[in-house]
Amino acid sequence: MNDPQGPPSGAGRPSVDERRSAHARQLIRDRFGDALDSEDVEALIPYVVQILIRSQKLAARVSLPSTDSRTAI
Amino acid sequence: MIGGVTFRSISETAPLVESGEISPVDLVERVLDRIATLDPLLQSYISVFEEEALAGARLAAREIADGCYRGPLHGIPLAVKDNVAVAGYPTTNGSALWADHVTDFDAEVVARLRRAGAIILGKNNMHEWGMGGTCKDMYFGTVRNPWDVARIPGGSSGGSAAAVSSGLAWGAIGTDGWGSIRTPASYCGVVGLMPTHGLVSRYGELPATSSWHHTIGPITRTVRDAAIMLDVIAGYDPKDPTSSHSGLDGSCGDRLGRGIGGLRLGIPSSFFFDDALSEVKSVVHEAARVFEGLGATLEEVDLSTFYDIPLALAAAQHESQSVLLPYALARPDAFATPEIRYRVLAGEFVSASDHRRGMQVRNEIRAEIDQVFERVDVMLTPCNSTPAFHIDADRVEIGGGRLVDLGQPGGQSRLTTRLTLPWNLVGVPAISIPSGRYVDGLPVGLQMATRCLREPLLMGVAAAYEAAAGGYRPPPSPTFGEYQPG
Repeated sequence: MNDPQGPPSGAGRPSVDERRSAHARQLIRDRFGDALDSEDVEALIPYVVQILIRSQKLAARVSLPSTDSRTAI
Repeated sequence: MIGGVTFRSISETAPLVESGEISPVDLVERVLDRIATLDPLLQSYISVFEEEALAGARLAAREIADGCYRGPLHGIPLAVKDNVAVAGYPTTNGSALWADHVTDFDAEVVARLRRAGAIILGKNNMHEWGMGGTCKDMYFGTVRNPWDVARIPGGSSGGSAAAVSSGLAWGAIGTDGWGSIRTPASYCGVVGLMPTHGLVSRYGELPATSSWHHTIGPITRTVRDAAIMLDVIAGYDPKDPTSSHSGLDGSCGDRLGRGIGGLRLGIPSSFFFDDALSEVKSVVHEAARVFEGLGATLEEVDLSTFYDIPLALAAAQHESQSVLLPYALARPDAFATPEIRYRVLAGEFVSASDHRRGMQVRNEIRAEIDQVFERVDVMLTPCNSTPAFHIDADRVEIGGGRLVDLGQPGGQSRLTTRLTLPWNLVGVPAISIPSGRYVDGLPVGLQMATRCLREPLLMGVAAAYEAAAGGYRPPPSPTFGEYQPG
């Protein structure tokens, strides 16, 4: 997937894929810390990226209005 | 009748057992011989209970001789997938982690089969933790497809389907969360039924979860045999909180053979043929014409709602994975394939909002499918887009000459569960039966689904097709020398 805001060559600003991977890497490190070695972290990234992409699609597809006034934000 | 008693159906064998023409001891001895000969290659069993099976067979023979015949499963040797508990034996889930996990109780389905007089032969190999559709490179070995031992049997109930296909059991118990009964049944040329969720008790399916998309069901050589097994294992069980008080309207076995004139049969216009090989599409359309010849009317149905299934999976993907997280962190070497471990770890990143949104999408899909089943009685689809693929394949060709990369996340499931999972998410019963057609010499399964608790109708329709055009054939490999056509 190309970054719509970035140069088509991929040089300069990171692509969407690179940003997503970096985000996933950070989430994995935050969650698991030293429990996973760097090889495991890199192998896990594609799986976490899939979940992040799905999360974005879900948020765009389904709104979550609260029906309970006590918990409405 | 197909030659070789171990290839006979339950319904063919039962009268011979009842009359005393064949002894259950003879059945068990023959099938144990076959297992000893063939299973070092197929690896369809993790454990075989020789002594207990023979003792059970001797008891059954005495009971029958004394006039205490219990019904069509009495004295019939069956197998059980190794995520379903059998008292006194390990329930391994196909994993090194549970290699010695002995349970002291029977799962409810096992208890019901025993009460019906069935003999439990052993526990079948499976894709570890039920989390895959290949049964390749497992801790207890790679299960091989009896139709071509260089190919996968499907999964996760791959050992069960391979055993039934190759005459190593008359029937087996499988479990199905994404297609784990139907896909191996399709790839191995046998019948696999996923019943309505809640119809069959899941007490003793391990690890215990509250999942709303997992079921236990039969894998057999004929539709009638699946009906015989379902009639025994179905019914409310207070030990399973997800068990339904609503039962079937009558016996499945009684519904068979009544004809299907007036049946409204739905054919999908979308989703189910996207990846299918042209030969697989032809098989389904030929089957539709067979049904038309039997008196059914055909209607094309838009199932594009199923394109949202990847979103709904946010509510289904990670329950059992959460059970495994401690193992994924502490015992990385105890997973047969790294992919499963990474899927377990990735489950930690599904948020509660994603889960809630996924449930909402799932409910929308269910509502649309409810409407579909107002217009048609049964949906007819392919079970998989291709026949069983090679064990060593890195990529598999699908329709349109495209390639699926099995090394990418989701690659295997695109081939093994994409067409079966929709009915799990909707929660309706679905069956895969042999189409009677072959692609590259491999069986192709037809999948049919209907609304909840209409298994008698579903199996009546499946049996009508089986009688007209399909049906089980033993694998033709020279390895399976007992096969005598006609």
